[in-house]
Amino acid sequence: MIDKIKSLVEFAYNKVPLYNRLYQKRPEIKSIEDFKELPIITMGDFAICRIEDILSDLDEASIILPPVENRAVFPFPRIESPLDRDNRYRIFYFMLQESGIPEKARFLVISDTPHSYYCGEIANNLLYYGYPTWMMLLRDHSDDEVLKWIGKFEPDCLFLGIKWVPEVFLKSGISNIFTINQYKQSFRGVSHFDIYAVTELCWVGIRLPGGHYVYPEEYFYIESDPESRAIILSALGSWLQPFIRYRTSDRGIALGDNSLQITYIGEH
Amino acid sequence: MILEPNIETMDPQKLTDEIIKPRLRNLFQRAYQQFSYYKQLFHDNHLDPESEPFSLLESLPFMTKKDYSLLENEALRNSGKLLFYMEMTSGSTGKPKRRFQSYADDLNELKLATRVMAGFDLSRDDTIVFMDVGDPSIYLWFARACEALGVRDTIYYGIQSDFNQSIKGLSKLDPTVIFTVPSLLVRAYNAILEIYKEAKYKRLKKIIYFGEKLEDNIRSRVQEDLEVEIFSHYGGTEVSTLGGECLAHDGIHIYTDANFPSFLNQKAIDDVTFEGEVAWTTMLMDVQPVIKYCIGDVIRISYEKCRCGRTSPRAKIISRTGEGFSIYGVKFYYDTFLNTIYSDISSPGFLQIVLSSGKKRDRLTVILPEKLKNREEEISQSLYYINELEFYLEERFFDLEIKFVQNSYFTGRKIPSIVDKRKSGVSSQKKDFNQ
Repeated sequence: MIDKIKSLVEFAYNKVPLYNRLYQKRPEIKSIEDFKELPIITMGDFAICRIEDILSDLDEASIILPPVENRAVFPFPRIESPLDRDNRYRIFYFMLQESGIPEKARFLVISDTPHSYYCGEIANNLLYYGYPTWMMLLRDHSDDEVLKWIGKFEPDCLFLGIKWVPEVFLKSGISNIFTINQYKQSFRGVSHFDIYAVTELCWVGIRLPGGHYVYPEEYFYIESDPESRAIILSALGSWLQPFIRYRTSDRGIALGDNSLQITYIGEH
Repeated sequence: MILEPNIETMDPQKLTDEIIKPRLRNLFQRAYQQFSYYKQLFHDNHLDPESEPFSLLESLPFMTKKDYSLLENEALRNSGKLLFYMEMTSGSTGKPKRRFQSYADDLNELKLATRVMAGFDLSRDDTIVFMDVGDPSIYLWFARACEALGVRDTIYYGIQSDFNQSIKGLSKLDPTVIFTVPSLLVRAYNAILEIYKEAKYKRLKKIIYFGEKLEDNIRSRVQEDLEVEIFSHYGGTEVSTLGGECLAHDGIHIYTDANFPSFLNQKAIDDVTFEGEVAWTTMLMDVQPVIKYCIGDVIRISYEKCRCGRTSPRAKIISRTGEGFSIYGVKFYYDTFLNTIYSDISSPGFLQIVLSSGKKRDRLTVILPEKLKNREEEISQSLYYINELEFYLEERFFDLEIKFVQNSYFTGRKIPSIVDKRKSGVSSQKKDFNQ
């Protein structure tokens, strides 16, 4: 872990002007304690920079995921290199494995328009890992219409990329329901998996039914500020636009053993 | 339905004077100020971006795919905080071509796509199924255009390599419109036909295709068998939506108020019809506009007024230049394969790509000189990791074969770089239709 953190910090210092300016001198990272001495970075720091100052190599920018809701003060897309994209796929696979959903289970992804690109990526990942997947956009459909559509697909799992989850989905008879950033809700009577995602970092971890959020430790080092409880993320798989000790607008408690309790999710 | 009649039925001369000319002028000024590539281009050709727009357009050289890559990083820089999305091709120079989009681009392109979709006469009660393999992002964009027209039910239907099994579920959705790429339509056709033999699934009214050319004989066949109306959407990664068919089905309406065509080797067919390799000038693209950019299509364009009332010219795609091919709508280029196999780009070797239809899946055969046989494993691995190709191979949508032949195969006569035999596959598929 510490070697990976050290490599990322050195890389960011050498290749990303924002970090070069922020650290002022080459960081000497020998332990996690040294790492925790590094300054915290915020969206504000990114927002005042030119794009070439926050990316390690403009030539490598190959994938962009648009901002999810475009409601944050500085809506910022996720910008990835092919390596970052591959890492994101591996994180998704980690979540699938943690969920215990069997291979070839059929997924219906339901999204509203603001979350559609994001959910499209989810569908893309599911298809990539061999899960039969369909996706529909939710508009002004009535509860009956929603149930009718779910009945037509007969999926094993629902993946809901919508701002709030109406009761109708719980009546659908589908026993595995995935949601995104619904940290307050825990549905009973179904296996409810919630994905923790941050727009500029994409998905981070998954909450299993009745448990806390778990994340792959080879891709994230997560701290929480002892006073404010702000979640501070270091993304060890994001090399084009590194996020090192990045303070999110979310709050929670890092529980150790790559798990996290989330108490608040802010605007992304 | 004509979404913007004030523009779409406008007198062509008035459209040219009042809309196209000012937009071209604005484009030249922006391009000159924002891109070192364009600035250099104007200087090298002793042109002033403030000159009369049409004579300027005439004087500017045609832009190639290689030139396009010179725009990319400046476009990314220019987009700054307004960066929204990026589209990517598999790349003609071994590296994917990237088109960055700002929020303004997204809105402009969505507006144009909505205009094209309106031409397909979609209604609020339609159930549109976007049928494809892999990444659904392009369909989500089309779905947003449908949403703008009031369509409620838009579904992305991910097809797995077992077409027959995958297609079965389609019957339950009972779509009124299927939106897909021609190669997938052909591959899945027997399974689709099986479903539509049953009268209860007769709601299907339209098939919309994009990304590839649909052969006329296949088109007629599908129309007859399924009793559907077929529409074509036309566009490209670097230029976004260019146009679409209307209810008159007499060519693809090109919206010249947004994208203006120029021609390489233009020849007149009659007073109002011209043919040549088309190059596009994108007047409404915000962060990565192109000027006289050749996308590799030979089209025939008619300036005769359409029966639908639109005054915009109509295009028919004659052919695509031979440097690339498409697999289920995803473009791959000869050079990508060439550069993957031969690391020294300055002295490339021999290569021929053959696409053929197998019983279960298509086959991509890479033909190389036998002296490379000792590198077979390394070449196989490199090809496997070509962008996008990995997914198709991994999921067994087609097979990859490497074949080694004597040098004389390449030197003895002029051979085409790409041979697409899948058309014969379509013919055999057609026989299957009759069974």
